[in-house]
Amino acid sequence: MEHSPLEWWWWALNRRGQALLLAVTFLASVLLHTAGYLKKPSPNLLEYVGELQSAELIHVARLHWSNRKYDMDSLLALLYDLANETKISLPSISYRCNFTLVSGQRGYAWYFTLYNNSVSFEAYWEWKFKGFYVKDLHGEKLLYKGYSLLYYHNYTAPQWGSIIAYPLLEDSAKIADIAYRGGGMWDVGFPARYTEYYLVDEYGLKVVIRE
Amino acid sequence: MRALEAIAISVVFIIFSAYFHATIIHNPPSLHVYSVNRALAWLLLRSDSLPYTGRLAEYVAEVVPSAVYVDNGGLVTYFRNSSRVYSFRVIWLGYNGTLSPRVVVVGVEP
Repeated sequence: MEHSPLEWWWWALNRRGQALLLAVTFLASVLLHTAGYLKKPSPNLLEYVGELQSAELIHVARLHWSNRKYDMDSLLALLYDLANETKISLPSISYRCNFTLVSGQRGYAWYFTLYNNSVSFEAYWEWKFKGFYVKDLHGEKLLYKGYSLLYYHNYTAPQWGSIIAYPLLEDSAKIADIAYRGGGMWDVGFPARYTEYYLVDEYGLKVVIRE
Repeated sequence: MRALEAIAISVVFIIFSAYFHATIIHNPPSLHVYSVNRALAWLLLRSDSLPYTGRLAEYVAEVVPSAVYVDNGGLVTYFRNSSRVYSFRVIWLGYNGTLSPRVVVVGVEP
């Protein structure tokens, strides 16, 4: 003769000692309920993946653009190797990189890296030709071209939104006139015989003005 | 019936243990985890060359007031004594187009 599950349950409840089962179930419920009050309600995270991880990705992109001899794949592989050795949790990501330059008397350019977790690095600059001027170099007069230049970095991540930074620019050849006006704006002058001129920012990124 | 009771009690005990472990042992990170994470991220964004200049400890003390020590690739600087320290790790890969990986460990009081 076959019994349905309900019949089995009813049979179990009618046996001696099953009150103990109910008592244990009730006690466990009370204990679980009480345990819930032992801590304040808050989201449980076993590992926090946040600002630092996003900053690491931006650091990799910035280093890549400062020397494209190091491709993103090898830099990311190195970062992940070190992260694994030192128990740093980094998310799995993919990326795309883009360099754009539009030359002219008014031109613009950018280095851009976008990761699939919405973290991005951008170095953007634009320039505008202002006019010629003559510079006296140890008694020799040289014709210079003057430009206004806007240069900034944009670090974007879900944790902080967007951070705009204005890195310092240097002229490694020590030929150009560079003056910082604030807010990422620069006055730049270099000999008129050059059709393009390279400056370097404090992270090693090359910033070119090209006509 | 004894077997049924034993199984039921075991199941209840396992559920209780698992829940208790999840609620008590796996605590969410406290507030200092977020603030230190943010401060170290700021240092990393601010400079690629910081660990190589010898001024890292100075900047860490500035942005992480609860820092106990900084281990900059083996060079350890202590700010204070503490019996309870959480360690945070930051990786600098290099600066100015030069690859020179450096793992920095910052010990922080909760």
